[in-house]
Amino acid sequence: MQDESYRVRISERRMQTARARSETAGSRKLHLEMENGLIEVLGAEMNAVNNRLKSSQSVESFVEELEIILERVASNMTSRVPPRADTMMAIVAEIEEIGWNSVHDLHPDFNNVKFAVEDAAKRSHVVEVDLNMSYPHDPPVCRGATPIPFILRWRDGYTLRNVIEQFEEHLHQFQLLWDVLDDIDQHSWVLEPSVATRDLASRRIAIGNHCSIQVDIPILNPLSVPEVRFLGADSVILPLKDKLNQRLLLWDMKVFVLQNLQNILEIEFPTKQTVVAEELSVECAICYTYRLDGEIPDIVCDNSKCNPPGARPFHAACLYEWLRAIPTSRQAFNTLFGSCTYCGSLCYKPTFLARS
Amino acid sequence: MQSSSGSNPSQVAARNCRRLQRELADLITGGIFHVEEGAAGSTRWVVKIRGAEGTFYHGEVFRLQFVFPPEYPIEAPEVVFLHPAPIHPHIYSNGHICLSILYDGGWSPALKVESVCLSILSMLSSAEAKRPPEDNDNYVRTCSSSPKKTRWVFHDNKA
Repeated sequence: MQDESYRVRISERRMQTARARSETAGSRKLHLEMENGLIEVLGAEMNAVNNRLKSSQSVESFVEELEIILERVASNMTSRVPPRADTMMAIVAEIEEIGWNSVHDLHPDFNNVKFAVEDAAKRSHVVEVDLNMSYPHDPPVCRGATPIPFILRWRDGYTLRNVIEQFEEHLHQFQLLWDVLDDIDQHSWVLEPSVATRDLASRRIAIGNHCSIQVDIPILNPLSVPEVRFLGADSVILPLKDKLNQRLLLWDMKVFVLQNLQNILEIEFPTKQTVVAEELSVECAICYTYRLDGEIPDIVCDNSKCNPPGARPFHAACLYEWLRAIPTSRQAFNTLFGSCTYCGSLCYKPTFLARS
Repeated sequence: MQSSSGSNPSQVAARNCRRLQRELADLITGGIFHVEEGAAGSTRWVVKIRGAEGTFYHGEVFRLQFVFPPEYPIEAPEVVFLHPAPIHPHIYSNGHICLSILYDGGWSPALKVESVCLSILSMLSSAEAKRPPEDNDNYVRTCSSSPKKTRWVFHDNKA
């Protein structure tokens, strides 16, 4: 009977030591002694360690496996470390100062707090604050849905209250922008984004006839002329493009964007009140869905005389797949030209990115 | 409406499943044609067509079989009449139909089961004589089981 004693030093966060002793008598049995600290760290993984211990053929292979288990445990620990108890108390006091009714969400580990903040126009916003181990010595990481990212200025002695104040100040500069965007959302049919978050300053507005207008509002000067892009059949959008170019001098900086566009283009935007959903969100003629990978069907025949009853627009991806399958289509660079399935004229132009 | 035998739902791609689901619902609410066999996940449908009043086929009921390839609607469905097929200059006695929209070059994904049925009904109604195609015996003896493998020559643009 020969006792073999091994000292295993595993380099971890706090240099844990484990002693494994193997007895080689007929069948090899491993016996393991570990410091209490290491057992605590392993926690639920202790079962796995004991199982490995029973099945391991040699001390070397067990140590290897123990290392793998410890690495896994360590990597799980670093991603979610709650602050220390005294820091937690300080955080509670800071939240109390702001008021618990402002708390939108609080992670049980106290490492993430979301505050609901109202702006001057009573629009609700959420600022998410990551409190890391070294808070309040190091600044928290803050995120909020704003067109320009919120950057926190941090100084010793600052608390969460300063975070909220700075976020409120940050919100203040976008009030006019959000007024303009809210006006669009309320008085027109917005195709995209389907869910408007406060960081998005662009809207795709339905004009009718499967055509739409994409408007990118200048963030810091929301009443000036936005970047405008027309989408849809040439027969509808070319006259609108001409009108916009010719009458752009009529742009009135005292009026919101939607009103300006209506005045200049001499059109009324359809709204949820004036039209039914089926007229504007028409499903693709090929896949019979409206939203496909986030895209909406917006390709229609350019021939103004082509307007058969029941004709539907296509998703670019669906139309591309169809035109690629038929011999009459022609390709020029990254645009595929195909004939209209309804009137036969060569009109479809789905643009696609070259696929390898 | 039972699910038909011999079809494997897993063959049906997600997109074509969604589309067939909608087509089936529209066919049922449309009420022009009766779906005898068919389910959204099924690749084989049977649709009943009634001969229109005032035509050679008044009072007759025919059964059209649709088989949908996984690429449907990019690729055309295979459409044949089940026995007995109508006696018509463009319909062979084995059920194969000489109609351009059913095959490459004439098919378009903007078409659907309902529009195919309507086209076939209109083809039946516009028949000038109730007789089989001239080359019927020869075609039926030599053709492949699927009409999509036939090289069709379309003579008549009236249907």
